[in-house]
Amino acid sequence: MEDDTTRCDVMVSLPMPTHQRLNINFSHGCQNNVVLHAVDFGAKDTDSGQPGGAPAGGGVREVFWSPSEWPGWWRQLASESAGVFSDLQSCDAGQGEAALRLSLLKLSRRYRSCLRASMETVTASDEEDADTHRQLLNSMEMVWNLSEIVLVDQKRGGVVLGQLLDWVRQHATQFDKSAAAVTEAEIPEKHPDYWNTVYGMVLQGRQAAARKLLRLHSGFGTDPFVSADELLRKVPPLAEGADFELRWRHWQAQCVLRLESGEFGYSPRLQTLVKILCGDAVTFEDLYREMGSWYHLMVSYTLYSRPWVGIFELRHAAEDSIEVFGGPSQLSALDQMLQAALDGDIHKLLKTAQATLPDGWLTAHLADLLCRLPDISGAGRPSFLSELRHHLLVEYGSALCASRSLWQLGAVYLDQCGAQGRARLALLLERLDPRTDRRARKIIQMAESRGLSAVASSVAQVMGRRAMAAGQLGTALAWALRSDCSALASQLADTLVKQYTSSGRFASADFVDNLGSSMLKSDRLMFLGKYREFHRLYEENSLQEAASLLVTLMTSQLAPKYFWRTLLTDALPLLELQPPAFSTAQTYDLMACVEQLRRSGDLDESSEEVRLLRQALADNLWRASIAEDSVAS
Amino acid sequence: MVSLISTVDTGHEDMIHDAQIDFYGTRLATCSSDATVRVFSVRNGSQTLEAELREHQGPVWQVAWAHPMYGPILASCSYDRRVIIWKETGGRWSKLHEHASHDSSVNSVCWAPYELGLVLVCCSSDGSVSVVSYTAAGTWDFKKINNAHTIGCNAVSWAPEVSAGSVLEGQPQKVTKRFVSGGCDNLVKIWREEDDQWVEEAKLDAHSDWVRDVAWAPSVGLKRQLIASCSQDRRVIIWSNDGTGTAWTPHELPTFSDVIWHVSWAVTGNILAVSGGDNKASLWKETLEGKWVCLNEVNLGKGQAGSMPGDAGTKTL
Repeated sequence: MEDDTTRCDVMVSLPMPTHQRLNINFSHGCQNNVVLHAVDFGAKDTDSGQPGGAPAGGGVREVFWSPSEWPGWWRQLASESAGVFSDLQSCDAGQGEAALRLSLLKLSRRYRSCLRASMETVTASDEEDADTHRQLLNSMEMVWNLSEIVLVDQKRGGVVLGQLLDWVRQHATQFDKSAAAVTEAEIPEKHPDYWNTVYGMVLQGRQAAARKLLRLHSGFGTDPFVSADELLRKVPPLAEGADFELRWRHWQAQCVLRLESGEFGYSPRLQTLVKILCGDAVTFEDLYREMGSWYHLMVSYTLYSRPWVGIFELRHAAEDSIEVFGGPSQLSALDQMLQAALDGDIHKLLKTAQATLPDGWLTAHLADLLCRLPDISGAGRPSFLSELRHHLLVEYGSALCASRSLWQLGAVYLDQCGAQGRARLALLLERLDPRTDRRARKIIQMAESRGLSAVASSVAQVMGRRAMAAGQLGTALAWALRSDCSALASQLADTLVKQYTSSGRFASADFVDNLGSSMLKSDRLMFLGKYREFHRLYEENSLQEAASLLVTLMTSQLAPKYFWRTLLTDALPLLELQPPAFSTAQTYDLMACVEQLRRSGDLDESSEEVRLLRQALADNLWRASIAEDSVAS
Repeated sequence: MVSLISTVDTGHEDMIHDAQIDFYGTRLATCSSDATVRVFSVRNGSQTLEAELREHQGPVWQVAWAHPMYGPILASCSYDRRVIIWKETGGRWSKLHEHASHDSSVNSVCWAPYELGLVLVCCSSDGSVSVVSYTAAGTWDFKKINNAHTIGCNAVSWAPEVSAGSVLEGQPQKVTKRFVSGGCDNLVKIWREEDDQWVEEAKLDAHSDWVRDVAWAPSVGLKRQLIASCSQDRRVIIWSNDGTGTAWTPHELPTFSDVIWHVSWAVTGNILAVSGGDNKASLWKETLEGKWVCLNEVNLGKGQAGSMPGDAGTKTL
């Protein structure tokens, strides 16, 4: 959307020592930051053709472009609005236009109440820039409210003006303040703001309040005052229909008549008041400073010239009002957004909002809401809007993912963004540091529930690796199995096996016993499980089975070579049993294994152990042959 | 938009050439002409020096962190013609492996996606590129591509794996290893592993001077792939491939006023950081219409958009 290709002076001006050709080299950090360091390219290292580096002792700077933790009131806004957002997603698009608008209107109002709730929180908080933040939220609510009135709500002629009047009253509160001051003054009419307040109340269509103030005037009771009071009393309330227009014109004709007849001749102030009622353009222009904004002028003027008009005429009135305030060049960003909302120019509204507001809250949620509007008659839904919504939601969701406490909300938004959102989420979930078991499990659960199995696996592997480094082998094994990574599982099983070899004990024996079908994940793991079983069998005195298992472990190559010595040592007590636990065939197998070891040079023939082994094998062989012979015969 | 700057006083005795944050943003590795690599722990804006690694015998040009699932592993490459791989065990860093098969300065080092295992690629001023991998047997192996670029090779960057959410996920994929390199022959080349050998898959010729850096963008669920290259010819080119075939279309950013030394992609792949010889660094983003534009500062402090709105109905934001 930004067609601006001017170079930007990115980031900030950093205090750097001055060098002739100082450059910045930077690399991206994790999510919302970059790391940069100054590199002096003036001094080139010509040998390698590489650039020179930062001046000696030069610092490296980490620059964050969004806080990694948002303030409390913002987090409140983000959490509450995420709930509204979710509800909006499940809003039935198939219902009739009127029903749909009603649903959208309700949701829009909920968004606004989120904004107001945050405003209260900010006001109640003791932060330094509480006021700035409150004003920001206020502006956002203002823009949203106007968009809601103009775009979401059903347009019903004169009632639009009524809504706009409410809107102006909410946001132009200067007259409430001065009314309070004036009423408390000793002599209200002498208060410098007295008449401006009266005018202000009338301009905001608050005739009753104006009348109350007039009552405080010493001149109340005199003819001009009575007359003015009556006119104020008889203003027809805003309504729809040709009927209203008729009555209203009749009433204004009355005002004009009385004014021209000179009833208010002696009171210029009252004259001004009635001129307002007569819709005198010059008077309105004179009072523009009191109103303070073009939209106030627009609404007030329309109220007293043609209060039955609809949006289209209001747009012209808006242009005229803006001229009074100095023309389009004097418009602030907020003014521009409001005008765009009034014009129904969603593109301009969102573009300005994106350029001015410090975060994507407004643009993302508003775009999402507006996207669902049924086609506005004659206008058609802008085609760019759905792409824009997608883009804004992706950005907003990603920004949430960078936050320490709100990262789970990020997923709520990215889920709505199709394939790209999913890919982003995968990248971002991977980057969350699984500092604790609980967090890791949460990340994995989020990944798995979205079918992001690669992410889940990699997080589990990281946890497994960390547990392994911390010596918590059982935990590590659990993670390894969770991650479905056989390499890690094998490595761990190896470590456990080696541990046994050195310490003679099994760490994490319980865990290994309950492996069950997970054993199949890796050969080494299978071996580990079977070896534990061997020990169990031995302890239970099922010696024959234990013996068979032992032989199988060696002959099936399931046992790693380095472990064979240990297995053979384990076999020794079994070899001395009477009746023999090993059959002749099994004994030959064992002997073959010993032979393999000898050939590969792993056997120390001179050791006592090996001698004992060979003796035991030979003994077992003849005992077994005798036993088998006697069975045979 | 900038809200926090923290300074890390590295204590390096000479010029710093690279600074990389690890995968989770908890550590920073820096390297310098003083031949050391320093590792800092960085959390919430505060930094502590964790280790100083002294094995190189010349300026260290780049550092790269491996994926945390392999444990804390760092690679560094140096003018001393070596790549050193470091590992932290029990709080202490030590040299895990040294790759010394180059005849000249090793300029760049980049780890492959973790799905491929513990693999890295590095390139040298001797014009060659080597791919170093940790095998299942627990040893280190490497394959060298000689004469990848004449005169010298300056940068390498690995292609991401097929990302989650892309249309290709779930289908049985032959894992194709690819990386991109840039050299003193002004070329950008893409390499693919085929039958255990590395072959040149594409040659991208659009720069008119030495290519100083290349960066392959992370995968974001689109079939399209992006590579950024920058050169002494003051240009940054973004190459795109539509996911089918090996044709890459160049898209040039507006020419800069000085040499561009460095390009890098943000983690989520949508922002390109460009830094170079004109005292400026900039961030570039693609618009919805497919154009690349420079990010503007948020206009909160400028002119009209000065103060926040008052509720006195006055016209300010």
